[in-house]
Amino acid sequence: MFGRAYVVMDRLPGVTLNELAYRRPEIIEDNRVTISYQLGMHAGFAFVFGAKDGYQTNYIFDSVSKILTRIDKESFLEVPDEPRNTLSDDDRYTQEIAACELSNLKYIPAFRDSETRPKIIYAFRQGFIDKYADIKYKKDDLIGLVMESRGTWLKLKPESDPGEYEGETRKLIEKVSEMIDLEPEAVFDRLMKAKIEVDAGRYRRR
Amino acid sequence: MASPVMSFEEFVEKLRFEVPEKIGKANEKVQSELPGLLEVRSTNRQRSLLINPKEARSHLKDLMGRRERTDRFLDTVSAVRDEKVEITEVVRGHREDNRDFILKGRNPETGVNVNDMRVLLGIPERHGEDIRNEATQAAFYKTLNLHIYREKADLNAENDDIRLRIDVPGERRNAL
Repeated sequence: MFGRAYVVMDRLPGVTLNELAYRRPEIIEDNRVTISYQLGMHAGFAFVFGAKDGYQTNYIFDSVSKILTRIDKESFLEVPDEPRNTLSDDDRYTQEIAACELSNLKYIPAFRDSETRPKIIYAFRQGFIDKYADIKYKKDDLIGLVMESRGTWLKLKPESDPGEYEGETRKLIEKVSEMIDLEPEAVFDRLMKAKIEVDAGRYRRR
Repeated sequence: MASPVMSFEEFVEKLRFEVPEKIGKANEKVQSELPGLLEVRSTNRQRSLLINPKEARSHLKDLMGRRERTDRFLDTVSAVRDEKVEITEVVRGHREDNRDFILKGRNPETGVNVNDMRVLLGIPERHGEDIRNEATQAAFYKTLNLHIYREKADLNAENDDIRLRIDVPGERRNAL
């Protein structure tokens, strides 16, 4: 039914994280805490809602407004079948999120320095925990949005078996709900360990 | 060395309130003019097929289709800016897979330039799901006070001919 879809959007002021690291590292250095904090907020969102493409090229930082914006969000609601498993060693989902979101920290020069690294991680963690708390607080609204989204998707691409689609929607809502209910501190710790697993070559691509 | 005005922890604490507030204000600005996040169009186009012979009909159909796609694209662009927009220049975006372009444009009636826009093309194999995902997340971002931006998606562009109007230097093909 669909061909080549497209989206037209504002061109945001600012540049991508990797471009900034290459051309204007001093801007990252000057804003290292706010960038880390906001990366943490986006990582929390990515983990709960299965947004897996949070690469450095998909973050734009505007040094005037100090806002970090996530663009090209082409992956969504790709949550795991067993949310509890995300807290286990070598879980692929957690590794996938960690491989994207935590890798972005390497573009912050202070993260590469062993003395300042803990501060960067602290700010990232705080952003992550804060956004997770916000997600928990707005859980009902967000679950409502998942249902609305599924409804819109069905209108866009009618399924031959609406009953089956409805069943899939129910399962998805259960999974998102379980993701929201996880303890953010435990998730953050697991993400850090998952990144170490990825760096050690224990990432099992699907 | 100057004494610090606040500790690192105090600074992060300050961020916890200031960053969401700043994003909230930016979102309000976008939201106040947002023309709608997701465009859903019917795929059932009705075209008049009154012309013969076969080749002429086919040619006309092709022209009509091309015009329709171009108009739809310009409608989408105009909707993002909430005014009539004529595209004056297209340059490549930052993506290495060449799926994004920066559009420069102006209002043809007033001659005033409009803010630059960016277009992201979906991956054909994903049949619109990637663009659908992008557009869908805006409501979540707004609810969670993460930064949103004005955008409008067209999920029913039928083929690659969107590039007909995106006249990228060196890639110009049959521009209308």
